[in-house]
Amino acid sequence: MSEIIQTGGGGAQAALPAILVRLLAEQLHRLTRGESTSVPAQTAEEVLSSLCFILGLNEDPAGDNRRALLAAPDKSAWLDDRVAALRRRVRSARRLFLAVRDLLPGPRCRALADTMRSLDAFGRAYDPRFAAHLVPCDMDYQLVEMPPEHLQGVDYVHAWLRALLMETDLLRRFPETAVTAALHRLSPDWRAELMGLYSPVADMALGLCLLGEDPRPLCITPAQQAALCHMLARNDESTLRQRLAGASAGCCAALGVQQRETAAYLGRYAETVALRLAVGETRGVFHL
Amino acid sequence: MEMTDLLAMAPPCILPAECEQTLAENGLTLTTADLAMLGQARTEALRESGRVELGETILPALAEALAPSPYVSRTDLAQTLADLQAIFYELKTAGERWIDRALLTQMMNYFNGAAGGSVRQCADLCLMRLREEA
Repeated sequence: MSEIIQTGGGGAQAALPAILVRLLAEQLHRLTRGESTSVPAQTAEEVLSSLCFILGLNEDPAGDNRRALLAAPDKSAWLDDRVAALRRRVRSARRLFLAVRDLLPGPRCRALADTMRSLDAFGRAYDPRFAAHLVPCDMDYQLVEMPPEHLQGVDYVHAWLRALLMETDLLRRFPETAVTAALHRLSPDWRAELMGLYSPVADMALGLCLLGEDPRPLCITPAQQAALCHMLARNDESTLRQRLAGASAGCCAALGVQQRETAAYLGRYAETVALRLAVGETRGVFHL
Repeated sequence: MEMTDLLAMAPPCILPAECEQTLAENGLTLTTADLAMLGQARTEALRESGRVELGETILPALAEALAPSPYVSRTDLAQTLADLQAIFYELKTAGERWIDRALLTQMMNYFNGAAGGSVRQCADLCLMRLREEA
């Protein structure tokens, strides 16, 4: 944040720190309802972080948001517009949440159930004016692709739900009994463990597709395991990548995946599996 | 941004005309040098109490509340204000739930009453009250 303030440069950019301080003063006045001229430094720091997030100054490599703020004739109105935009984004996150919730298949671990419960309350807990950069949720469920760390507030929740939607879109295509059985084989206590459901299911499906089998049963027999071992032995990284990319495409075709994002998500996951196999990290992959 | 940077950008101590008038009605006045000293004292007090004040300052309200006090004179007005300003921020930190107006009223009641014009005693009495209310 200090860079935002200190890299003002010359000309109009030099006005940025003073604008931020004035907007921060307005925010603090609003926060205290005008009943306190001062606040604890920690509160001021949090509100300043929120302000920078609202104004889009944290992730602004080309300086577009900075220039827009400097050019806005009424900075307070500009801030209000940005807060209104965040409220719209919260509503969009809510719609995304409901879409994921409707798609979620039956088998759920505790971490997923807890995270969904927490996300259900996100809209009520989120403060798009004074704590817009924070995520007031417990999100313990492990996704294969966690959102980038630089994302904050509703942007983080949006990206997180988007990734969960991709995972859910794949998981829902398998018979629930097959999913439950596959997870149980991995760990009888899978519901209580802090593990994602996508990875073990996708591993199984990719393994079966490598063998040219239907991925839906999610069960690899000892004979199939031996065949996989034989197939993957002495493959270099490039070959493994090719094989896994083919398995990923095969899996999407077999499951009728239409969504490009879902297919791309599985494709990226398959690439990580290829890398794990290439460095000899076979433990856990296809239960080898 | 460090809080010290924020404090450096805080507006200087300026008394609104009505506040100056209240002081004048009570035979009191603050010079430019007094205001500069109060500004410095404010920065220091905010730092020590771990607080930030960016828009309006508490000084005008404090000066208006102190003006009719029998325990303040033209010669010690600036220093008394500086001392009261410091304990005001200290007490705000100790009792965040007190809004400015309530705390000011409480402080002036003690300052003009039980504390007999002693800033330190006024602070102690306010702190005692805070603990009782906790």
